[in-house]
Amino acid sequence: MKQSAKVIENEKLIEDIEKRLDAFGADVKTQNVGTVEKITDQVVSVSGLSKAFMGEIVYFSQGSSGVVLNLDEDNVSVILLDKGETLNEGDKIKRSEKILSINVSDAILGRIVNPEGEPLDGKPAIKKGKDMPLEKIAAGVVEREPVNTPLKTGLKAIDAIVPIGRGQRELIIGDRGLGKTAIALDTIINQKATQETKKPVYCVYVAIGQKGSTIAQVIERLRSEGAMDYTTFVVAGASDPASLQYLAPYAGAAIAEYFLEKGKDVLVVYDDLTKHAWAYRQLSLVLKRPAGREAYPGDIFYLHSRLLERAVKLNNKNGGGSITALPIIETQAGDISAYIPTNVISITDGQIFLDGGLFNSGIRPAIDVGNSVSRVGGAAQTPAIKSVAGKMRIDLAQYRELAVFAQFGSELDPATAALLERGKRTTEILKQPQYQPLPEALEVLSLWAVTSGNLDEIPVEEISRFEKEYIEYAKTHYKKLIKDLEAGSKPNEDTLKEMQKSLQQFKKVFTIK
Amino acid sequence: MNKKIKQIAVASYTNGKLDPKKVTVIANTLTRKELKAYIKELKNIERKKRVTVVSPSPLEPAEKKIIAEKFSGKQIEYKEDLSLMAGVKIIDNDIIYDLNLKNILEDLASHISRNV
Repeated sequence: MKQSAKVIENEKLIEDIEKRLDAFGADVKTQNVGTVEKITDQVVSVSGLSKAFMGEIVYFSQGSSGVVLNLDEDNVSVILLDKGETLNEGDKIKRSEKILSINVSDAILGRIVNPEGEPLDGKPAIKKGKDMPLEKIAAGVVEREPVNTPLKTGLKAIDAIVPIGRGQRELIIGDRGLGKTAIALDTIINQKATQETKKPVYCVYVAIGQKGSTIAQVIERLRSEGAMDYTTFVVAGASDPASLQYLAPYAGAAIAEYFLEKGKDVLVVYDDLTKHAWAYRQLSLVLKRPAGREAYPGDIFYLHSRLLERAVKLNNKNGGGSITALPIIETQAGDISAYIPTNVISITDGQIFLDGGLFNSGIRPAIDVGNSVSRVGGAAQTPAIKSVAGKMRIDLAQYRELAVFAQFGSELDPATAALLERGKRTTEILKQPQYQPLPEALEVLSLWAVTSGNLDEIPVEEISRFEKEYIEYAKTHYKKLIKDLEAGSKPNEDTLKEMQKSLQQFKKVFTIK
Repeated sequence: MNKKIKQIAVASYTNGKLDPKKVTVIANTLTRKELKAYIKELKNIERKKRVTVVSPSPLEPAEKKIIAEKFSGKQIEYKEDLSLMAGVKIIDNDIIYDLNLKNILEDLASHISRNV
């Protein structure tokens, strides 16, 4: 009986294949082919391919693939996705009739891929999931809602002064070596705490045109901090073709959109968009597009605006997911009025400006409070942190102004002197070592200690040690207080009393050296 | 420059045929670089006018008639290639109509290697 069932099954299979033969001719198949005319630095000029469309993948007969980026009257310009060393003039090209996309499934978390979705970590290919297009029109206004949930970075200075919300685009800008990547990495590491909650934040780190050694360092760091499990790396390093560097951020956005469609929250770090603009400038110049200011092509603004517009907070009708973007821009000698920095500043919802002077005077993270803003993040701050950090920004600005005058050494009235002393302590408390993001409850404790005036009698040079030891003390002796603060609501009378008590008791055991 | 060369190439035709007189006059006045572009354009035009029909065995006159009707105004060239096994392959400049067994088997093979 079983045998005959098998025979019938086999027959059916053969019939199916036969049907394919029978259908011969019914399924009219046309192919649109082209011929390589000219190859110049990653850009191939092709004749034929009259039916090709923008952004389409094409395959060369020797095995390379490329993307259509220019359609002219009788030729098509294709950017190569690999080095194309074996490509020759006269090689044939086939259309794929598909727009460039990347295969994404849940298995992509914890992996390192190139902008085409091919693994770079030596592990097997990403499990077949969904093909996400690299270029996609961002969600419209009806699908969005205002930013309302905080994305905690774990850095006191940012969470208190330039808070970031889920779905926001916050630019990190500064010269090389001031800790731009460090801020982004701390933020990724801090998302570990959200993985156990109902709304975990997945992370995508896009490395564009970076040195291989730097990327390896970043990956190793995240791995040792246990942040790899929820992070995907999209890597187009300095030795990769400009075409891949140009596509990398879009691939990162496509991966984020896969999770967005599932109603998840995603954080994408674009490190950095200056090099992305360089890669696109290179391609545009080889494509002979007219060059504008600083030799960038005319659509350099749209290049970044269409990418960052894909950062979104969707309303509940559309799944309620979000994509938060942290683009990074490297400035030259602190010049934020250069072409690309001004472009990206105007696109994003605020910027975190890192200052070389602050960095060198030991203030790290070197956030310039005066030049940093967050245009929408305030709405996403929890009442707890809002209540302790509300006035901090203005106080700090006042302090900076007064500090300049105080340098002249003139006699100061007691009120001014007190303000200066408070400012010094606030600056001190906002310092934070790298890779040590704090949970919100502890941030509130630290910030409240200074804003409530409790640290006024502690010498400035002892503040760091005081804070560190106080946090350890609170963790062991005031577990309930920390739990109350974790809820994120504004501290009530009892909680405030408890906070005061904890500080006073700790001061008794703290010895000033 | 390319646009002008293109115009000259189109103008080299009289009643759909390449005019030898015009071509000699033009070829004599052009520089070496321009001449290269001119020849390329002429070849392009010729290619657009020609249709190649490849089949494993010679086609019947009735079949040829159907093809001639489909591609009226174009010069049709017939070729034989046994490797197609069955059916035809029609090459019209950069568009290829692959209506043969060889192509279907190749498609099937790539489909299997990609999805199985």
